[in-house]
Amino acid sequence: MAVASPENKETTRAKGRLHDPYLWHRLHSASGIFPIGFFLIQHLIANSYALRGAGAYNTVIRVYGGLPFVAVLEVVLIYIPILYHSIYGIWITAYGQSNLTRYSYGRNWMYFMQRASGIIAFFYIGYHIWNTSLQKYFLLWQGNPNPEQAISYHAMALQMADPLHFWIQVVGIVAVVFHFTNGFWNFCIRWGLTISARSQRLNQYGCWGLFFIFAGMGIWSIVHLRADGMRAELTQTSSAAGMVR
Amino acid sequence: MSDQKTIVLKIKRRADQESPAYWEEFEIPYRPAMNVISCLMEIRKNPVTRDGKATSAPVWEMNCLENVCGSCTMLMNGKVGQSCATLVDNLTQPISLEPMSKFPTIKDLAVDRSRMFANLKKIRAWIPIDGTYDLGPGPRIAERDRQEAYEFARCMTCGSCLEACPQVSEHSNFIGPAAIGQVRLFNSHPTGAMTKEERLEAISGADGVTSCGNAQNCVKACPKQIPLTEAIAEMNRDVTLYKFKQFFRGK
Ligand code: SF4
Ligand code: FES
Repeated sequence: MAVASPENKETTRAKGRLHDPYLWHRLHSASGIFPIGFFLIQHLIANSYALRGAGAYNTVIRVYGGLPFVAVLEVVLIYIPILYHSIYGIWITAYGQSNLTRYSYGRNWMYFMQRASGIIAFFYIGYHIWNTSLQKYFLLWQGNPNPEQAISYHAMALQMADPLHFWIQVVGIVAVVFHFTNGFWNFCIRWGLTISARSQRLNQYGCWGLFFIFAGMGIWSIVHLRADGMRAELTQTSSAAGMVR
Repeated sequence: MSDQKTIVLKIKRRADQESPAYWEEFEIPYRPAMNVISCLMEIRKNPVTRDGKATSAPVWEMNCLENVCGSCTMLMNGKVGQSCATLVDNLTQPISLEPMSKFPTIKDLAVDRSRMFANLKKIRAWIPIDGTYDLGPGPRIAERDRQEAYEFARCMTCGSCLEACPQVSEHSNFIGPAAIGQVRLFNSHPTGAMTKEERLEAISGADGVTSCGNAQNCVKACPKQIPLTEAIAEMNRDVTLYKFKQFFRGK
């Protein structure tokens, strides 16, 4: 029989470890927590400085923007992992066959939502990166003297005043945070951290808690920005330096 | 037997995997406490469709008739289950009967589950005790471990868990929850544990435990209430540890 396992072992080894699908699958799972999940939490916390007003927010932007090797960090810790995670994730999604209509169990819904939120997150992150980081480099490349203006408190607040942009952000934040917290639940099973059905159920409650905390945090920050942005539009203040509160 | 209650069944029929499928409707007299197989037997006595056309008797598989062999597994009103253990009174009419969709159809409701048996060979779902000399009695098993193992020993390879799994489809060769549960069973046996790594290796590929998407339908679909999702999480842990060990051992 060609199915005996010693032969399988040989073939895995002959192809080399880099061809081991297990490795790539684990990397997909691990990258969702580190660095992407860690970055997401950090990002949400950093953005919540918007609640403290323009000064605090712009300081945080300056601190992160001024990190040594910031471009390298961005590429290695953010762009490459997210790109890998998305492409592999889309491949996983294509490979499954959702059957919600027949088996509409709670976890089966989560299976579907994990994939749906991943795809929404993919497009949202593309939009979001263009809107912030890439635009900065674009301005820099154009020789704009103040490229940072693309991501200042003022610029963000004015963008949020546009209802379409604001709602894209809301949907994006909810999708990304859900994908992360439910992904964490998956991660705990995938790495054998929660084995018993009870531990998986308890973890599920914990993950919903995290979802509400982080999604709430993100939405609260942008609601605040939007309120300021709308006020600024009304009073026609358009100084790029900052906003009078 | 005029103006009496009847049972209406819609059966999906097919000469083989390549032929087109078609539906036929049958109506049979109601008797209390009938199960789906007893309806099929009733139809077989006189295979005439609801609109009076004579047809061939539908083909299905059955064996134990008491929910322990798994051969009668099919889709009833779209959901997978054992037709010998499913009562007509619990189904809304017309009752639709279809073969399982994740296995090739042999004819009508009978499917070919050989893939599952091949997988049991692949994971070496046995305890090797044959030697050139008497190996003596095996080690004793703690009662608690025995009870846990017994849960997995009840698997009847019916295929319900694969049928309900969104990760099992034509374009995926995911080994499925049943086989992963069997790795858990044989690896937890003290003698079986001696060849533990062979079984872990067998489920460490792209078609192995890593293909699970945590939809957790299997544990709901399993007629034997086997804790499949716990086995999957445990095998995830064991395969990962095994892979780490293998990597640092260099072999
Ligand atoms: S694990 Fe349960 S559903 Fe799956 S084949 Fe065994 S008995 Fe059937
Ligand atoms: S005939 Fe054996 S399980 Fe139904």
